[in-house]
Amino acid sequence: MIQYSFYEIILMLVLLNAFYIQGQAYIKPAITGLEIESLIIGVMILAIGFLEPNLYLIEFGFLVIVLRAIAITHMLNKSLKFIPELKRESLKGVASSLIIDLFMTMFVLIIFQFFFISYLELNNALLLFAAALFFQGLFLIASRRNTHIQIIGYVEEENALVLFGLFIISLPLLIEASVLLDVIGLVIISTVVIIEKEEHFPMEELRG
Amino acid sequence: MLLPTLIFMMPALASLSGFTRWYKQISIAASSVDLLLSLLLYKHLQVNFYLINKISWMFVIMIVSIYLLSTIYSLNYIVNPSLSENLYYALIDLFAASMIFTVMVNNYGLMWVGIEATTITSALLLFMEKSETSIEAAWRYIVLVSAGVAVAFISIILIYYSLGTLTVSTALAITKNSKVLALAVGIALVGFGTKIGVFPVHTWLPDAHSEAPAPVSAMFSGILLPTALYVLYMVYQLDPEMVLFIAFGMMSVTFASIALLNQKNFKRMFAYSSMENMNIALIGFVIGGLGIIGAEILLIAHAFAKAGAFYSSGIINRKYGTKNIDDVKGAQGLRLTSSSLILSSLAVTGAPPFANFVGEFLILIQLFKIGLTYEAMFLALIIAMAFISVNYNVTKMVFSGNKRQSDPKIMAAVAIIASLVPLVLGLFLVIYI
Repeated sequence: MIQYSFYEIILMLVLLNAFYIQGQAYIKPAITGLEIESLIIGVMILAIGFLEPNLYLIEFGFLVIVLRAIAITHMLNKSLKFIPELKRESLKGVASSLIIDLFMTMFVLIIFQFFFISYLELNNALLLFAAALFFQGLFLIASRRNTHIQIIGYVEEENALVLFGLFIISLPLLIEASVLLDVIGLVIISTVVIIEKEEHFPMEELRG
Repeated sequence: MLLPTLIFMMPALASLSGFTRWYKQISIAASSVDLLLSLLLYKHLQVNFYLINKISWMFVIMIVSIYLLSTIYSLNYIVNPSLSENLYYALIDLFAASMIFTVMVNNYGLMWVGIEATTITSALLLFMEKSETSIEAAWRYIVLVSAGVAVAFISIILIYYSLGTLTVSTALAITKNSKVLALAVGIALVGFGTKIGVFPVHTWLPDAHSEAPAPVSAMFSGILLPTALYVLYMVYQLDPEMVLFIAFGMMSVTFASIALLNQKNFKRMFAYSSMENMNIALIGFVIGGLGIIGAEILLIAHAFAKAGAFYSSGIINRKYGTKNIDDVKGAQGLRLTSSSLILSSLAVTGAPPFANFVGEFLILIQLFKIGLTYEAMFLALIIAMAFISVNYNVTKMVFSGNKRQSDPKIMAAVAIIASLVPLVLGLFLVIYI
């Protein structure tokens, strides 16, 4: 029970951190937010691994820390140095997007409370946090135009998937594959996009 | 086990040829040998690490055929000096390998890994032209499809939670009705549906198809979308949610047909046509019986026909320097190209006697058979609407003027071969049936 409450507190911190990221117009603090989020999740997996004890979870937690908290954020920070004028996203309405995010998270929590806990009888309230984080990642992608921020949203989504896997059932090979694909694929591709095109607006050629 | 491994590894190994001077020749040789090996695979249907049955075999043949045609077509297509040709061929090889792996593997989790891998390789191919629009299209593709595939991952987790296995053959043998499994299938529709072009998560599709190099567009439309459809069908069979799938399939076909009415860019037009065809095939798989046979015929005919359409579009884009329908006048001057464009347009819109018509006809018959009369009539109406939209535009491009131009030999030959396959297959089916 104490352990369960401990997870709840940790995951609440992750959710608050996600709100912090959503509220950033400057890119550097958002990257730091992602760093903290991935670190918290990685350390939590490591801790569960040591407590159980489960060698796979220890290895997996280590992988999340190295790849998501260190490698991806390092790449994002490095690309910021490469294009120094991109410190701040050219957007308005950060505060209103934060309020929408807050309402959306509450809505997700209520809907998923009904779905996972009552309807599907998946008796693990921690899944609610995973669902809320997943939708926060999606909202971050949808509400912003900056490549860096959209990548952060995507990694947030992936972190939520790790939590889903962790609290429903662990799929060792698969989750590792997803983590590795993040790095091989997403990071390489994203670096190209960051260099070529930093912000994304509707284009006439891509209408209709 | 050896033969499927060889088929999947052949293009993967060919991608290493990017480090040599003979990367083009090696890619073409690898795809040709792969096609021969794939034909042999019919005699070695198996269930082990791989799940090779008649359906997956058909998908393998389809993927390898379009892969071969695209590598040959690319010989003369890639002339942009800023474009790294060896990287392009390496990515085409890896793209094909990831699709072959996806349709052969006997594990839902690894299918998901395969789909994710196709996103990575194909996104890099989209960057190849490095124009502002192609980069924007590629980014939209990555963001939307990655989000979709992430949703699909939840479906995979729920399948494992519900059945305790991800092995496709084992999971399909378990008859279990549970709310969790039903949810997994529903989530898969949204997740994998993003890659197939199911409304409303289809928005990347016209952008990516229109901005990719023509041979890549052919692979996107002809084989990538069906690969994702195959995975969705495999998940669907766990707990058939027929009403939900038919509803989304119908909505998607309707949306695509309406979007076709107002297209100015011929590559986007063909992209929406792909969306329409994929969702008709989805309905076919979902309703079972003749619908499954119809969907299989439709997919294989569509792969060649749409490849032909995109190959022809590539030539026209090269000759006229535009993708705008109104700016292309008198394409009949390009004899072979315009012929392949007309043939492929008629095919993708389901004109008789093309195999696409046979496929769509069987799906409609099955809809009537299971009592979905209104749905069948509505679908027939929507198909007719798409037929008029596409062929009106193609006719306008081809017959409004006549300025004799020379066809690029290899590219036009590949386009006409691809366009003739659905016709030959259709004639064979009509006579055979």
